[in-house]
Amino acid sequence: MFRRLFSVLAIAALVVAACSSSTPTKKIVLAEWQYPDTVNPYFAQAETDIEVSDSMLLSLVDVTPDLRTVPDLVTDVPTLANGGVKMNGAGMDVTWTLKSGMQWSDGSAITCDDMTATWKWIMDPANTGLAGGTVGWEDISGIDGGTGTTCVMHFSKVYEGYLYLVAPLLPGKYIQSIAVADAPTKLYPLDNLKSGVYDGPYIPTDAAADSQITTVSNSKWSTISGHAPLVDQMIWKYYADAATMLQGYKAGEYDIAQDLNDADIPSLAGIDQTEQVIHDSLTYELHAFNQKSLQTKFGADAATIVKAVKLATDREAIATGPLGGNVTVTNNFISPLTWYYKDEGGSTAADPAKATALLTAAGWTMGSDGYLAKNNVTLELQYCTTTRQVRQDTLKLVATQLKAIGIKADVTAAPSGDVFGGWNAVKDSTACNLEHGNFDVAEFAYVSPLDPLGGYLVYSTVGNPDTGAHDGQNVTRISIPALDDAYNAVKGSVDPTVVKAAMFKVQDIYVSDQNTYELPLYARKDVWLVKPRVHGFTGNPTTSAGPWNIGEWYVS
Amino acid sequence: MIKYVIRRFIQAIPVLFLITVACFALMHAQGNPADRFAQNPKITQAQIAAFEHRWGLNDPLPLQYCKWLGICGDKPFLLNALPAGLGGGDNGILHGDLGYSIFDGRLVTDVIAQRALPTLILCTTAYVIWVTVAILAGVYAAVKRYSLFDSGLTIFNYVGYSLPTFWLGIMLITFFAVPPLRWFPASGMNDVYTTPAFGTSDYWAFFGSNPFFAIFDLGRHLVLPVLTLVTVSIAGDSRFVRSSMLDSLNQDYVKTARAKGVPERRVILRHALRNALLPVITNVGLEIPFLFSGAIVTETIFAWPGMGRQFIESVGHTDYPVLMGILLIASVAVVFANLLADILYAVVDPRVKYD
Repeated sequence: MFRRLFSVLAIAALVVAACSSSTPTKKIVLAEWQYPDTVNPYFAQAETDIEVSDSMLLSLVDVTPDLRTVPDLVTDVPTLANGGVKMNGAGMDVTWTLKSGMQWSDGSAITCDDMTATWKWIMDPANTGLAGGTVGWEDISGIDGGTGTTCVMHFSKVYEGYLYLVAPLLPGKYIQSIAVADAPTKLYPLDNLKSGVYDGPYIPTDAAADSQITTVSNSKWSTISGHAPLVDQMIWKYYADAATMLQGYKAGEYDIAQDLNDADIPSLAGIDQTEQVIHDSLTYELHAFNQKSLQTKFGADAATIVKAVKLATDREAIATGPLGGNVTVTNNFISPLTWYYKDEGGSTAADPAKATALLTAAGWTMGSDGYLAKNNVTLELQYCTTTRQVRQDTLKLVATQLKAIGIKADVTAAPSGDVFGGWNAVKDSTACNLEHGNFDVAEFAYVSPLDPLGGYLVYSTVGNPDTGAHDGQNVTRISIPALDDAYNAVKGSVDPTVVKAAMFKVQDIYVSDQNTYELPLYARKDVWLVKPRVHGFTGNPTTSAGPWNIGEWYVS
Repeated sequence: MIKYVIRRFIQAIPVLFLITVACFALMHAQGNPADRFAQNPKITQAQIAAFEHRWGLNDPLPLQYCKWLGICGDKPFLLNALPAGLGGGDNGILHGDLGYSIFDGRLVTDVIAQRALPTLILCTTAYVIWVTVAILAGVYAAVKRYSLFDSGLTIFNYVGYSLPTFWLGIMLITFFAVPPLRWFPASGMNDVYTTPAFGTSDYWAFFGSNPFFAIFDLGRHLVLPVLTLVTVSIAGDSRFVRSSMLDSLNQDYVKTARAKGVPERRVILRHALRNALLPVITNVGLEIPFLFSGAIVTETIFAWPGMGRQFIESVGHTDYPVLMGILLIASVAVVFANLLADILYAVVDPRVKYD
């Protein structure tokens, strides 16, 4: 009996195994390793949220993979040079010319009223949980245009980041139909995405939590782009983590793997090189030096010690060691792709001999324990980072490099919540918290800002979290008047020439001896996997990432 | 028997109460749901305070639990516990309200309902296969003691029982889902190219018009997750069944039955097995919680959109209402499974009487 049963099971298994999935038609399946928390980018705190919403909701402008700003919903990008931006006393007026004849997915026209509604929705006091807050929007004093397509946005003061503010444009009638206080749960609800109004190339038809979101081509998108989407369905398939997502790619379960990075490159063994799309990311890994704690510990020697540490840290060894050669060492925190990048040159090689010479000249002598000391103070630094394994491996390597020149590095790994927690979100004494300055040197990553103003609260004195509302991001507590002046110049101007000159100054300071606050380690990589049947995929280092041109993808 | 069942249900109430108190306390020890805004400097303290007020997170913990229970609410204390029609409140589990998800504002019952069916399919399939195979294998190994099958099963028992579920799942994917074999899918409940997402209205419409294809597709996707879930359980229980069966086969009544000329098959199935199943029933009933906990890991590995995966996500979001809802349902299921085991015990063994 058991033999017969076994035979039947074996035959059934063979039949099942022999049956493979049908050849996919005009569908593309994208995989993510994290189900979105929301498809409303104004609430999105994760990259995976923004990627799926980018296929459904459009912004006024878009950014290409080489970081050029191009029109999307508008006919041209407003600048001072083309008259789209006009100074108006202390403020400025920005004219956005929407393309005519554009429609939302429900057939209603896209007009300036939508821009006004988006602004009022953002600024409504009942709106809680906005990921970007109201920065920039609060400077708008009014928007003219009504039901027309020529919209004038009046700013009460100069706001340099105006280009990327309306990202995305929201449908006025739809957002006004839901109470603002209920927006986080009832606007574009994940369990009923079909109820929303969209303008992107693909609109959702159904969503199964933690499983997939199915989108179909939006016939109204042709009123915006000039042609219909080239694929019938775009399906988003969700996995629990990157490792199982990679297994799914190898199993042929989908066409495009997203949100991978340099840490995943070793796992791509066995996948054809032609299916791997790897770009330099805007994200870079860095060591941040806490000026306040270092000056407290070492007084006037703090700057010298930082210089020595930077010379002794062998970044090439880090890139080839824990990072397996999959990253690019960098000297500049600005991406070469940005329009205000300055090639400062410089060597990325370490120079421990010079580091030793600096410390010796400053009076530090080797103790019997193998570490430098001066006036009974051991040269000991507290290094902090998150629990991410590659970071811990990096700091262990750095500790070895510093030990060779007599500096003691104590490495502590703390949960992300402790490291990045806001001023009031954690205790004052929380180990490794950046906001409270509980570190000497911290390793984490920043995104090189596309908008020059992105570094304002990070590098200027006003961004010191010890002062004011404690919401600044200047965790190194650096205060350099020339840096403040440069960022103030950026903040107060929309003239690209002025902004570029100011950002050149910022970069000059960054690569000079005045930089005792940051050591850039390497630029990370963005990685995608793309099956050969998909065409038109290019990748993009901005938050739009792969789906930035999803309307142009097609299958063979 | 009926009195016994009613008594057991009444006894279950304080047990469930204690479980929920313990779980509530443990869950709140992991932090405040508002902490997810902590890393964003652009979210103001006023917004965080509004969020905490909206979800009652700034109430003392005992009050939060009391409201969740339904004893506290808009009505005075204890009065709130009465049904709404009698002047009581309408919040809390006493009124059938599991609350709202802090994370996305949906009713907890809707969140769980959406995830319950996938978990039910996975766990029920695994349970049936596990129990059937464990009993069949254990019985055959006992009957054919020291045979090749028995030796093979013994090896499988030791190896299978030692395998961590998460490792086994990953290995099964590596061998059977990726090239060169690609026999079974690596994840999910449906082939995204051919079948709509499971549980959506489009899926049920597709199921209605293509039932066999839909069942076949679901079946293919069940193979690896079920294998992952059942391997350890079969390894343990088949050994247990074998031991129990060997004890039973050595009893005098079995020798008597054989001496009387009863056919061997009848001796095994009707005499020996029935007695051997008594401890097995208890064991199988007690192992149901492990099926749920195993499902949490398995659903994560295979991207199975069930309650286990929802549980993990809710932990990450500190979404207490959803967590409490899932734990309550799991606790009720465990209590009910134990009661069922006791009732089955009485059915199988006529000597056992409950009154």
